[in-house]
Amino acid sequence: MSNWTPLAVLAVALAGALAVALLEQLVGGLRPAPIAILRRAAALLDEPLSAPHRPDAWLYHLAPPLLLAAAMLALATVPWAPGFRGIDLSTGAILFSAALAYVSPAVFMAGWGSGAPLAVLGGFRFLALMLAYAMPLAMVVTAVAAPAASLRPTAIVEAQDSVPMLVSQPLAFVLFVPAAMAVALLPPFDLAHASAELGGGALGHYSGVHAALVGLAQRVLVVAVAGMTVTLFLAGWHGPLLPPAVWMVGKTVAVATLLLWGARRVPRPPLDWLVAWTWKLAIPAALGVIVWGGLVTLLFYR
Amino acid sequence: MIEGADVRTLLDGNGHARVSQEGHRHQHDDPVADEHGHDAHGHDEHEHEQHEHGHDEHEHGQHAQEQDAHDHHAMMEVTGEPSADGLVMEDLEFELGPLSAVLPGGVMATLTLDGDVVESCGLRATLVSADLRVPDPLACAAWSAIQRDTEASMGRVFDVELERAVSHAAWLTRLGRVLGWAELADGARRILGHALSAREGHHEALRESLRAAERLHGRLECSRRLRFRLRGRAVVDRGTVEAYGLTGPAARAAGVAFDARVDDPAYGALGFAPALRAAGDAEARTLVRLEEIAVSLGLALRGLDHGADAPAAPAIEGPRGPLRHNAVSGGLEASGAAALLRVAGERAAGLEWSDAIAAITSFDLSGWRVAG
Repeated sequence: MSNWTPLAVLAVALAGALAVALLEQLVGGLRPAPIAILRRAAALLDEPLSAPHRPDAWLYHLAPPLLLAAAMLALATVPWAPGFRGIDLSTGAILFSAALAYVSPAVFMAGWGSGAPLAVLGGFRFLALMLAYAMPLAMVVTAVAAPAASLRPTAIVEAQDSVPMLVSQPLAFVLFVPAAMAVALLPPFDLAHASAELGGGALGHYSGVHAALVGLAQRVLVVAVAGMTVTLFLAGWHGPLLPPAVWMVGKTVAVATLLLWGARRVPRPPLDWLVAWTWKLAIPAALGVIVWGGLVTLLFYR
Repeated sequence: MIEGADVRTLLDGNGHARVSQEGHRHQHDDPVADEHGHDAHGHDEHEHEQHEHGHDEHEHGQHAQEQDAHDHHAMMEVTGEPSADGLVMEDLEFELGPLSAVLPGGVMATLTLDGDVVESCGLRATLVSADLRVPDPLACAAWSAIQRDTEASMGRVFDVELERAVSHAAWLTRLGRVLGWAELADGARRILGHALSAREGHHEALRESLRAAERLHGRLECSRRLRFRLRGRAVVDRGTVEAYGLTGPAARAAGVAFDARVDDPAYGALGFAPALRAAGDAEARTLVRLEEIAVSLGLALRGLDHGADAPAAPAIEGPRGPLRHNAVSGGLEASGAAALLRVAGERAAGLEWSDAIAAITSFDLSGWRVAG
């Protein structure tokens, strides 16, 4: 990590957020219009702040910066190239999960702080959703780190120079992707902030710069989870012919497109069904993934 | 217009959770204080002087701390009846609408939530047309068609059926958004776009719309995703249809073949048969409307080609039910609209929030009502 890392992460966040906004338009069948996106963002920044009827001021105003901080910290753990590895901590994969753990208090703060019934309902729903996604997310990261014998993201990438984890641990990938979509506030797991079902829910009472921060945070989260998916499962920057950074960016764009495309294909599941099946199926499967990761490590990585 | 209760009074630091705007009222009913024979406010200094320990307000605070130490549960005591899952939670009462993104425009809901389960839901339509002869100005083609009852023409069939296809496609777009299913909303928007072009006179768009409708109908007829989300929700059986006098697609989804078009010779000439389902749930109502979109577009096409006229019928079948001309008042009436609001509210009760909103949406409520 160098002195330039924070600035570089910020640049990646802004560029990545714009790219995700363009992908959303593309996947939605609209013509990508980057200038229109930037104009809308500028208009949001120009809009006056209007608080809801009875906000809890501290929680209401602190939630969007906290959400953005969590997203940026998660993004900072993603290594983009051998020469630009982000924070590159020896426990970077766990820091990724830890950073994303701040998404749930941020969303709950937004809901509770807004003080409106549907916003509070959205906040509580996200806490319940967190029960569903948090365990599979963290357990899969452990399983994938085992063959690399390290929690450092760059070491996990280096361990995939011959075979990506998608091939050696496919069930881990299947469990990780929905959990990553849930923590990135993507449909069909947008139970906390659905516009037509909850009127915006926990995030629906923000305007002006708050709305801009929330929109930016949502897109930075997509970049972060897509980047970490590529790091953990798709061999990161490894690939023939092209420079490593090009491979990493290309794979991240592909994963982000897949996440956004998948988000449109499935209706939002009922919360009790989701939590029940996650606890009955996904968490036991994640335990199995850890055992499988250990076996794979013993057989092929030692 | 949209009023929200201050939910944070549910877990107020006073130690009692009551949905109340007034903090003082909580303390009068403080059972912990009552146990010790205290006035929880500590306002009455005469009582304090008489107390054998000579409490003042400071000592009362100390005594309150001792009470809290004795019984932690008093701090979080919640009063009320247990829910279906045994949890005791305070009810949350609030109103939604008439401009809420959650409900159709113009519909207001008075809701009581028990956690995230709808305990009771009262729906009402709030929009009144300035022209009392046309209850729903947004469906003007359907309404104005009935005014041409002296002029029998296949043009009436074209107008009414295209209006039905547009209304149902717009509703389907909304259902897709409510379910968080963008693919469904996209498919419905494609049908809607072509149908609107056809309404503006581009009749070749009618075939495009029909093709898109048949494709979507074929995919959703056996869709597991639709079944997962809507099957068994908000069931309305034949008995309820007859008791409440329901009409339109909601009645046909319960197997009641009541359709004003059956008695219309113009439709008979085009070989019309109503779309029916038996289950009466949200899925059945969705599939009935999907089938009606394709049937309506087909009828509109055949009506264009048919040419020959037929005698007019006394009523037309609008998108939500029959529309009749009231000779006494000189206005138009939509029977079954008020009953639909009532049934939708009753069926939403007892459902978890997302199921309740999907169920309400499945009834395709209108926010317009006839005044008086």
